Amino acid sequence: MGDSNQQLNQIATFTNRFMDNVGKVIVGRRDAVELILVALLCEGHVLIEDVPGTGKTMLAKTTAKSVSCSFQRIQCTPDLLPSDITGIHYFNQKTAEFEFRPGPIMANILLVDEINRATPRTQSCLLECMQEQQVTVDLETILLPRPFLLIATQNPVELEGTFPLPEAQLDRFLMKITMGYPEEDEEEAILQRFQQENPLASLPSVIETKELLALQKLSRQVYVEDSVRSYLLAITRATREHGSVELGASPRASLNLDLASRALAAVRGRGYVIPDDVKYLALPILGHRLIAKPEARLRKHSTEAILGEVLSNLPVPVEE
Amino acid sequence: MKASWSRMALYITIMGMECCWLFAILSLVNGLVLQGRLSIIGLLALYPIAFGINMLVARLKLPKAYLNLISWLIWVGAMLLLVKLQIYGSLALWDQSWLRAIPAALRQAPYDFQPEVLLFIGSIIVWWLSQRLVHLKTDFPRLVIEFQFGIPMLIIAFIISSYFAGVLEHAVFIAVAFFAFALSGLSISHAQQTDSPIWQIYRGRWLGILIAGISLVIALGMLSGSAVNPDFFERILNIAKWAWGVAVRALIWVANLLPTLGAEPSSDLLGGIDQDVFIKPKTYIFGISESLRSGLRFALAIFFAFWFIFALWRISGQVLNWLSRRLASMAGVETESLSGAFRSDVLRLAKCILARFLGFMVFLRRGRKTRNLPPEVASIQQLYHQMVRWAAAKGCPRQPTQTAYEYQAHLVDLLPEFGEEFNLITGQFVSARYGSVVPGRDELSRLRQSWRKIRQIRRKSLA
Repeated sequence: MGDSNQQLNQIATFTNRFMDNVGKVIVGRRDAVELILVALLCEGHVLIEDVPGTGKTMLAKTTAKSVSCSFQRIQCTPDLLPSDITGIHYFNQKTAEFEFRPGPIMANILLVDEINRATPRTQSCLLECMQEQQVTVDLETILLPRPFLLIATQNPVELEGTFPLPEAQLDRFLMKITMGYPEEDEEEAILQRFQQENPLASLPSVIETKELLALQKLSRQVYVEDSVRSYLLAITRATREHGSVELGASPRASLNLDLASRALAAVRGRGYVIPDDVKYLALPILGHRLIAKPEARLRKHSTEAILGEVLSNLPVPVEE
Repeated sequence: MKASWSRMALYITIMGMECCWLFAILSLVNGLVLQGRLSIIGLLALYPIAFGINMLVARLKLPKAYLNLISWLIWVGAMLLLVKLQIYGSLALWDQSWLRAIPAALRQAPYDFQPEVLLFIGSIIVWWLSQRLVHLKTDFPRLVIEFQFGIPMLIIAFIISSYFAGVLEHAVFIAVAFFAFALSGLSISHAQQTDSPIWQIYRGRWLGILIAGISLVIALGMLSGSAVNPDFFERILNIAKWAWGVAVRALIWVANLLPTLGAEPSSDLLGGIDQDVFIKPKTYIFGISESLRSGLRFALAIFFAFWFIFALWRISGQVLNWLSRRLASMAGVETESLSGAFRSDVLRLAKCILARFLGFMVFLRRGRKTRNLPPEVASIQQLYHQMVRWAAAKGCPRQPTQTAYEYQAHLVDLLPEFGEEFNLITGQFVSARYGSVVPGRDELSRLRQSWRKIRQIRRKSLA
């Protein structure tokens, strides 16, 4: 018990440091920051989707800077090639040998900005990296550095010249976060904060890579009671059986929901998962994986609404 | 070892274990009733074939009922073939007489046990076992269960065999084979668990260790098989007799220390019987003086009294401990009469007894898990349930889709002045319910105080 309390304290200390550090740049949006933290602890990839100017890239860069690790950024454009991401073998005339020049993928945190502007060919080169933390170039498989976290951003309204992400890719994202517009007082605080200089420039890191890996291990030790696990599975299974859903949540989604629930419980200072954690994470983790049937889409029945229906019909395990 | 190989190896070991005890039992029946007219090996050869067929059938994408039907239809064919080959080999295949013999033998089974009946029953068992094996999860606990089941079956077979002057031949070989299969299966399944020490330490040399282990078991089995003979048993029996004699003498000596309640028989009463016939303990066993005997009697009385008091103390301690646990779980809990509670308890008891009797316990208890909660946790849960019932009675029931915290927020909206109490009770309940966190005495007493405070609300409706 003493050990588990100490472990929880470690995660709680990191949580406070991280939230405070990110809070120096990002005004408000503590829920989004908390979700990013959960993703960090799960080593899961994050898709940040919102309209332009809401701080998607800023959040991603702030997260990367808060962790003392290698960071790379890819600005996706329609002419971006897979080799621009993974790296290439080039002929070195001095040594008369082919040498590998690694691409930006060889980083601990990779920001893929405007991911839906890349062509499907380029997008699909990320599939292997995201799931298996490795990249294969010219028959050579190279392991990516750990932790490996991909933060992608995309704009949901401007669809011209964009390529929607395929289901296989969406399923590889642990969660999708939306930022939303700030409140009036928050917007005022943003203006004041960015008046003199960009606070991101002087932002310190709050955790080393080794520490993060250790915390990831700790967060996996959070206890999940049987009935809570059954509830979690009931949610994912219910998405598959819902009448308006064409493609429900995959087993990978169940696994991600379980992992993220443990991480969220640890972030919130608990050594055990409660149904509230599962319910809270259901939308960010399952929302982008569901595909509504065409008739449901025509009726403006969004996946968020479908998930809401699923959650409002499933009994929560409270009284035994 | 590849996963598919190890799974196949586990199937083979389970099959081997089951074949060993099946062979023992079927050979007994064959020897005792049918005078060895059947080839049990031939019957057991059906097992791998049945397993292969059932594996193929299981791959068909059909409802389970259809799969069962197909499997048992194939069994009919296999059973007929088995009867034909084993008993009616000389008759032509199209000869109807052997086909008619099977139902006739089954009808006569209560009066005359024919080889056809054994083949019929044996093939059903083998077919069912193979069908079961296809759907079995081949993991360590399953192997342990198979091993545990096989051992009593073998022991029963060996005991029956010993009563009938060793009807069962090759008993040592069967036992060795059973243990070889069991140990190989257990070690493979244990190694499959990647957290097992065997897997972590000997991963690279796994196959070599496995082969060496099996060879060792077989060698030891053969060695013990050759060493265990009638002379060996005779020696063991003599040692046991000698030990028993010493124990009896010691008991008699201790018994003589106890005071004699009745008078010793006088020589008049004994009449003309020679008094030397009677054993005189005073002189017969370790002759000791009367004063020493009195001292020993006293010490023995003290010894027995001590053990008696100690036993009483332990039993009463256990009872008190149990009572205190029950009281702790009930402390602060409001007792109330529930309509139909007695009836439901009696019905549950009757159902439980009936279910145990019929052996349907697993079916009736499906989906319901019982666990022993610490008294403090049980107390918190009872208290929370009472709070929920109390709120429901006042028009604010918890919706099944509401979490404990969502419900708490709803209650706090209705009674903001009791927010702290609701928060405390819900928080403690959640940590006990989902985290099995055992609260301290102070927390429990604060919880009860909060509940008392809430109960004092006199409003008829919260809404």
